Amino acid sequence: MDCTTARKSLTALEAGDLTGEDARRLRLHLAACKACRFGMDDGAIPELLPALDECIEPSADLGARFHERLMRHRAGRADSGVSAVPRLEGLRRWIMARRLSLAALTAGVVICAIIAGTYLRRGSQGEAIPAEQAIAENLPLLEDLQVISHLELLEEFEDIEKLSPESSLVH
Amino acid sequence: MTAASDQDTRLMLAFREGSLEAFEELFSRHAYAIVNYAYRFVRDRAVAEELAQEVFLRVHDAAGSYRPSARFSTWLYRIATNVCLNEVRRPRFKARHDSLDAETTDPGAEPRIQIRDANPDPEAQAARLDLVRMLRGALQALPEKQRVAFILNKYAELSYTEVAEVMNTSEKAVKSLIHRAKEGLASKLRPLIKEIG
Repeated sequence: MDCTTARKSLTALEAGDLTGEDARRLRLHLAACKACRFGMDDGAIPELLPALDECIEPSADLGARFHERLMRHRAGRADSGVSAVPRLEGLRRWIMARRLSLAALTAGVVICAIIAGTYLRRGSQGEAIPAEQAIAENLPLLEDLQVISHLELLEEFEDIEKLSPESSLVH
Repeated sequence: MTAASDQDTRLMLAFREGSLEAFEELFSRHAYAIVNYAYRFVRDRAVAEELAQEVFLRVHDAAGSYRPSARFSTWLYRIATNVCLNEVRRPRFKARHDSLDAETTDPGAEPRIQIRDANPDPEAQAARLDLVRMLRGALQALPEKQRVAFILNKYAELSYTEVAEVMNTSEKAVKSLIHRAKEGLASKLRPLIKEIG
């Protein structure tokens, strides 16, 4: 790069309009050319820094070392049950972050299904099965889902317990 | 997007589908830049290489959150900036680098001075290395955000828009940070410029 081009390009460099290879060549010219350098405004001088500063070459074995470290890292994640496939890992994290909400949603769906089934099912004589009877029949399932403690029917729980021979809560 | 950034996006998407080779290709493409980026903060090659590896392990773990609409390098530098700032904020780092006149901690690093030195004289070389140390000190003396913005824009050659994305701030704020960084550096650098042969 000649000095005329360098001095014309300096304003663009200061404004951030000169980037990439053009900026690099200009900085190198300015750092090497005393005449151009001494003509620079104070505000432009820091533009020289990348050309004057040191660069380092990474170690020749950096790639190999990183590969080893990556393999150990992936093995560690596999041991702790983390998916090696990033997309599945993202899904797993989404589910874990929302597990309480998902559990509550599942419990709600089950309760709605039970209640809906209560009004759709008919006994042998065609009459509706009382709600308490339906819940008692499904008590073990509701216990597994830890839904019991959230039910408003808790105050009638003793009566429900007596109806279900399978519940572990029956003393 | 440039052809290079298209390639990065393709490699990242391939990795998300399970290709480890694609991920290691990304490492090869960006390791030099990230090692040197980290070096601007820690000035120790071994530490810079450790930090660069940490950056790519985080890229590996966070690949599920990568969005192809964003430039890969912007996302990469955001992760790199967080890793480097975490390192320089550690008490052990501050204790080691408190003095602006501290010598490099890695005598084997053999820093490569970019400008072609017409004068191979050992005394001139020594003077140039002293200059590099003073430049380093001037940069280290900047407040953290100004230093980050300046390094991203001038060393890593990110545009103001990209710097703003990395730093999660506005373009206007980035311009202000860089302007103040240059003001802080200019007064320290002016006397040093005359010393370059």
